[in-house]
Amino acid sequence: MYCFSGPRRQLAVQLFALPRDIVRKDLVVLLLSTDDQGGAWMFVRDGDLTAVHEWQSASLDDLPEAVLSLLSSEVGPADAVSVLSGLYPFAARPPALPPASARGAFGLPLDGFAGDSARACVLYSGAL
Amino acid sequence: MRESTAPAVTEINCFAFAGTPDSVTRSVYALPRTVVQHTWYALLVESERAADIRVFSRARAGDDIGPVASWHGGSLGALPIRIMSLLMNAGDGIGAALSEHGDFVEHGLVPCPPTPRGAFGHALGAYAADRSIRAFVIAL
Repeated sequence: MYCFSGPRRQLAVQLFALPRDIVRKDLVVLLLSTDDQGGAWMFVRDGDLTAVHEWQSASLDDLPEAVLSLLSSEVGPADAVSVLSGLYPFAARPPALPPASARGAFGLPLDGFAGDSARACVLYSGAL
Repeated sequence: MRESTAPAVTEINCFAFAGTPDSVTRSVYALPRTVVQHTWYALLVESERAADIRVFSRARAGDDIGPVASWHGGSLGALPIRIMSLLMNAGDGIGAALSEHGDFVEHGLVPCPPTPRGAFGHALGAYAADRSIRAFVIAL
């Protein structure tokens, strides 16, 4: 798990510098929040493709705790996605080619967040 | 541990790794040196049999010495989840959350380690014989 909080520009630098192999994991969860915006993206590996599940709201509510609990347990990536999708109304995009880098995965979500400072966590299966 | 040792939060880095002691230790040692240049940073580590917390601080950025405090017990319990919740909700109170976890032993002023290996190597070494461990590094 990698979490950063601070000025948005610095946050982007830290996120984009994450090791490339992270975005190749079976399940990667990006959590973003500001004082008035929250969002979560699940990148789910499906063979040679990656499906992205997205949820945004005014805050992250209890989602960070749920993600950390699930990824710290013996629950597999598919079951973790199922549980989280049951708790929060994630919208699933059609599977597409997997992101080639942390910038490719996290750049677009971060662009949608306004404000001078933000908080971000990247969690992935097998890491906790 | 004095709560006042945790600075006002403007920037937070938090890293977590799980796996064999060797793989976790390598991941922690590979963290950027800037982690141990913060004015407050901590290692939390646990296995099935024990848990430890080491808190390092310095009065000002660039200081060569600073106080170290430690806690040893059976488990981190819900502390990692609580810290993550605080982190994603403005970050205030992380130092207090650690302080409230148990009674810390103050080790006085020690030279500030220049690397993650220097800061965390001793604590992680105590878990070398465990099957698997989890480690969290937090820097404020």
